[in-house]
Amino acid sequence: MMAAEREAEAPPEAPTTTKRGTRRWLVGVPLAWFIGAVLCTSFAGGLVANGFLYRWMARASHRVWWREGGQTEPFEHDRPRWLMSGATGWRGWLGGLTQNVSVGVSGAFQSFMALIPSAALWMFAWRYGWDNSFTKGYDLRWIGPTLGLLGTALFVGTMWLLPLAQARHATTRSWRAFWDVGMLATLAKTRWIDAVPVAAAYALLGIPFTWMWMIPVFAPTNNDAFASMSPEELRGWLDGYYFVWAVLGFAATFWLKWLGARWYARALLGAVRGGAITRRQLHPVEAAHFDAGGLLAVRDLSHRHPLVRAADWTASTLGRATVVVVASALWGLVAFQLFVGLFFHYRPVVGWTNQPLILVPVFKYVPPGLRP
Amino acid sequence: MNRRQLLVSIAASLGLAPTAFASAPARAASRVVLVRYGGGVRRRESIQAATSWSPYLVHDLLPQGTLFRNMEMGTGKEIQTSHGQGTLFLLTGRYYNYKQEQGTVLGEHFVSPFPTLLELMRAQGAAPHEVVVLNGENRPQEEHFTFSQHPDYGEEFQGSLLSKKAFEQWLAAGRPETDDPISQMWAKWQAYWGDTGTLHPRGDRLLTELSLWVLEHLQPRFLMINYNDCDYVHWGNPEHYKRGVTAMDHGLRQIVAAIDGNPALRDDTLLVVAPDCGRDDNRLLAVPFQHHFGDRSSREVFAYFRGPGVPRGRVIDRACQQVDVMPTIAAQLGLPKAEAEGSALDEVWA
Repeated sequence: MMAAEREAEAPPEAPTTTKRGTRRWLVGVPLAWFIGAVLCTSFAGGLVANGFLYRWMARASHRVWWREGGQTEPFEHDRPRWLMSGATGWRGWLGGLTQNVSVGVSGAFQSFMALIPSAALWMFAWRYGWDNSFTKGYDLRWIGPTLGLLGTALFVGTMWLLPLAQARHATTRSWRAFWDVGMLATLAKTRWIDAVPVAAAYALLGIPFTWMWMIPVFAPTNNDAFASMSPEELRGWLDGYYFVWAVLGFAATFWLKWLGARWYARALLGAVRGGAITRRQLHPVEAAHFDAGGLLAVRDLSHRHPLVRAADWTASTLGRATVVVVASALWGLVAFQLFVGLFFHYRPVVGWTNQPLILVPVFKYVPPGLRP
Repeated sequence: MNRRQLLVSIAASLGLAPTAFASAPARAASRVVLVRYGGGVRRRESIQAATSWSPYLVHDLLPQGTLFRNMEMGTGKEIQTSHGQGTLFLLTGRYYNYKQEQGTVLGEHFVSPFPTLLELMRAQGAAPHEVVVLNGENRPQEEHFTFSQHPDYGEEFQGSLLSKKAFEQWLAAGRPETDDPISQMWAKWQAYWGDTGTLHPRGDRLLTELSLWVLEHLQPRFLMINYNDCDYVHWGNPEHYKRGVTAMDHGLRQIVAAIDGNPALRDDTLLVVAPDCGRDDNRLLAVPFQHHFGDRSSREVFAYFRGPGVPRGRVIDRACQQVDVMPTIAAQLGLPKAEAEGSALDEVWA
């Protein structure tokens, strides 16, 4: 059934629902955005925001499956909130916050573990590669560049699966599901074309957020006012500056996570329908949704004409090769942005280990000398 | 003979030279050693005793000469706080947005339309080996700061540039055995250090070693030593800045000892220490001195003079400009200030 037809058949919304929707867009969304931006200016807050974003990822994937299931039942999924949950009684009051914290910490930890090998290689390559250059130890000149490139290759490989892993973790709340690399690779192969827009989105949004790190480097250029500012005034400047970026950063991360969730949900749907993944391989949460929506039917494509199958195979193979090159290049661009940002504005350790659009959404850096 | 040499000859015959060209000191040392305390050093880590990473400079050297502690680089977008630009400000006495040499894309292959100190000396008859610039490893873009594009000077009057690369070029040329003192020095260098390039000190310590060799074997009238390693802090490791500054401080100790230990140099050499530029004091960053992108601190430099007739232990507080260094050296050596916009720092001799 076409979406337009579905809309036409849907019962008219009651006036109270419309009012609630208007109020949500005029008050609820800006307020939630504001809270998210405030949280994204500290590491602890970033973990809470990460949980909130993960819960929205789960909602986005459920919604994809609900739509594909014919919408025979109303879409039932708690709208993630910052503080409260849908539970009744005293549990409801801080239920949202509790979930945000637990999901956020767990999600960040799994992603951190996935990314730390490449980050560790980068840190070592940068620190000791330049140290080697400083001391002119050119007999070992290969160490820095080689480890740096190795870290980048590892990062690119990780990022091929990480958006899917994050979305699956968010949906199933299972860390084992996050690390099911075989399943994730099957999903990536099933919807390989979606890797490009996801990687492109990260690469494009990475450009302004690289500038975010660079602007404080150039702000005092030919501006002597900064030299006479007190530490409190400088901290105030940074607070205001990074808050503006956190407003944008929270929205950008929300969109990126949403893209990842849709990629995951569609890929899982395609893999199940194509027979690449059976019901037994699904996580119980996934299986429940697929059962409810009647999404487990496998399409039989064996009846297709051999020429059609050959054309499909050729197009798929060429397309996959192109996608692998393009998406890998885009993820490489994301890594390059990290290096550029750190060359201009070196942030020891955290600069390598936390890319806010990917891991914990913290769009702020206050140097040790200005911390209270 | 070109126009410049003709003017100098006429002035000399009239008894005017060199005073017709610059305010000469009462007692002139005929040699200058200019140490570029670079690349990019703040006053805080150099001349300010409480925070300095240069103990020899602060405790031993400053009491022996005159310090201009409030020297600044000019302001404005056209005046960049970079190593190449700052070095040319020191050599030409002129603030200018020096442009890339044609055909070069990256790096700081700047060329000067204004004559450099080296050309002025060569025009007055100094031999190439008497006018020397020492360049560090990995700084090929600074290999041609020995001449300008000025129509009256240029390549014909260029000084000598010595570096690891220059030694390798000498090796590649078949180790020519000529009467050229530089070639003879390279032959001794090779006999001592070999030709692998891995036995001698490296980085800025190599510059110090080369300085000692040049002072001993060439006894130049003008020697510029372009230290630069502390600039590695651009990559974010603050330790490189500290190690670079201390390497220069150790180098200064050895260079001064070499000057004082050589009878031909001891009472005839003006030592000048001046950074090419400062470094940022950007407290918005974890490494405030990571770059030198034009904040106030990156324009705050200093100049130190030590030599015969230079007051000892004197600190000058008045504001002065980096482009004043060149006219001061020119006056010391009896050179015209040419197209320098700065003025000689008279306190050096007063």
